[in-house]
Amino acid sequence: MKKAIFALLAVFSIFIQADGVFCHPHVFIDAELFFVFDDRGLSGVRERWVFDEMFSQNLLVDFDSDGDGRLNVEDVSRLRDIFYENTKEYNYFNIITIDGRKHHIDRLKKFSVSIESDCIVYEFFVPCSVPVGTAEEKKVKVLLFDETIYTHLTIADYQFDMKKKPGAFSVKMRYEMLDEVVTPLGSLVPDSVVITFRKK
Amino acid sequence: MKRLLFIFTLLLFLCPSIAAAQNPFLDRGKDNTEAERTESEFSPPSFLQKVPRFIAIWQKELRANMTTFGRDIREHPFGSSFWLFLLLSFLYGIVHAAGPGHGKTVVASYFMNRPGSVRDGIAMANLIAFFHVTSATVIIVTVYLVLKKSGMSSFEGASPTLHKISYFLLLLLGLYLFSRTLYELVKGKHKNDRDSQDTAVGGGILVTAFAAGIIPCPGAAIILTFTMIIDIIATGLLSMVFIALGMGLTVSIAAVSTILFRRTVFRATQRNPKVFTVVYAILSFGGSILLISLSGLLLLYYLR
Repeated sequence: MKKAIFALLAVFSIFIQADGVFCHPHVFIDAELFFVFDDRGLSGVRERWVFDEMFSQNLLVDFDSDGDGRLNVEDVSRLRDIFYENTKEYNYFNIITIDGRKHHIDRLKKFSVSIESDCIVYEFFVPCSVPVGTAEEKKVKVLLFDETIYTHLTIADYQFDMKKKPGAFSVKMRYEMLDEVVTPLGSLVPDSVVITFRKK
Repeated sequence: MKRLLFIFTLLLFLCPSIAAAQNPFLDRGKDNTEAERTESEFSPPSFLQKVPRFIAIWQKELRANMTTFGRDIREHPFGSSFWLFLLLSFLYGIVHAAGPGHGKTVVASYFMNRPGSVRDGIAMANLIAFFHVTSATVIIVTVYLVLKKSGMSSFEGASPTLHKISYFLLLLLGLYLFSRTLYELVKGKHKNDRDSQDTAVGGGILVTAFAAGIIPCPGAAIILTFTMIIDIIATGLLSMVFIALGMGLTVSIAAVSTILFRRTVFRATQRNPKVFTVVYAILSFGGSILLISLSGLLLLYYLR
């Protein structure tokens, strides 16, 4: 029933203007992506989300339990739990494809929250193991998108991290803007990064 | 014909839907659906699909500048930052309302169904914007005065209830408009529309604006809360007026475009009674069905 209503909303929305049913963005995030490699290939993506300052102050008021301008362990736990609970079914706003096939994110790792220049910063690791050999090339695409349109995510920077095995892989990265749109709501054209790699 | 095409294009731009999602960083989540996607489901964006992206980016820039000016107002209460903050509030209202929501579909539906003057359209649009921002202001200020705290959590708690009330009222309005259209067509009273003075009933405008506008605007709430946090509450409250005026301007374009569209189509067809009746039925039923479908589906979504 729920799915039927959601689908009807989407279809109806597309019908009347090819626009999203849900509200325009109210939260703005600049994201940095770090593609992390291990011995076998890509192990996942470390992400750093910097919230806009105005919303960050709103978050702080609600979650800084002792009002000292810092977030203690309990505050971070609450933020993490709410974030996981609300975004898990949206794949944590990450749409990752490996050679064109969708990668399901079961859970995030190493979640932390900090405050930098009055902005809240979330950091976490998205597991996405993609082993690769010398003969083949793998293509991974990461697209950041909140399909409820409440949050607007911009990819501010991206790089790869090959500290565990420097120079072991040949890597090409490309930032794609305005080249794809996610259905069913299709209201925003999200940022994405495509990384192709093979073992040297 | 050119005028008709222009108005129709404007309408397409200005009639996205009216709902709001919940904040994923503040609320305990609702169960949501997830569609399995593969790359093949992605398609290249059209120009219309790119527009919301630009709107989002403009809002981001405006909010960032408002944050800077807001902090400066604390040091220099009536300096240039104060006036720039209000100016940006007005611009934010314009741009913010250009995205999905804010009653553009409601005014378009209403004025597809009912006659109205340009003044009626502007009045309804501004009333919706006024109620939309006032609703958010009342929640934030009440929480601040009663609970002695500022923050968005309480706002997010109250918001779903107001959504349900709004969609229910809009559903009733849509059903009323549908029934009235049916009655007028059966009784032949729709012919009077050709000779009408193109004015709407004041009560209808007020009720419609209230039904659409009571959904509190999260964008305004975030800005007001921020001004409370940095202790420039008076500026924050004043900025709400400017945001409402900006939103009213954007929604007015949707309302006036629809009114002109309806008027142009009716005038073009009024000499042929049969064609006029068909056009009248399409526009009037179209408007009411649009309202019934959208509010009904959104009500179901929120009641699930």
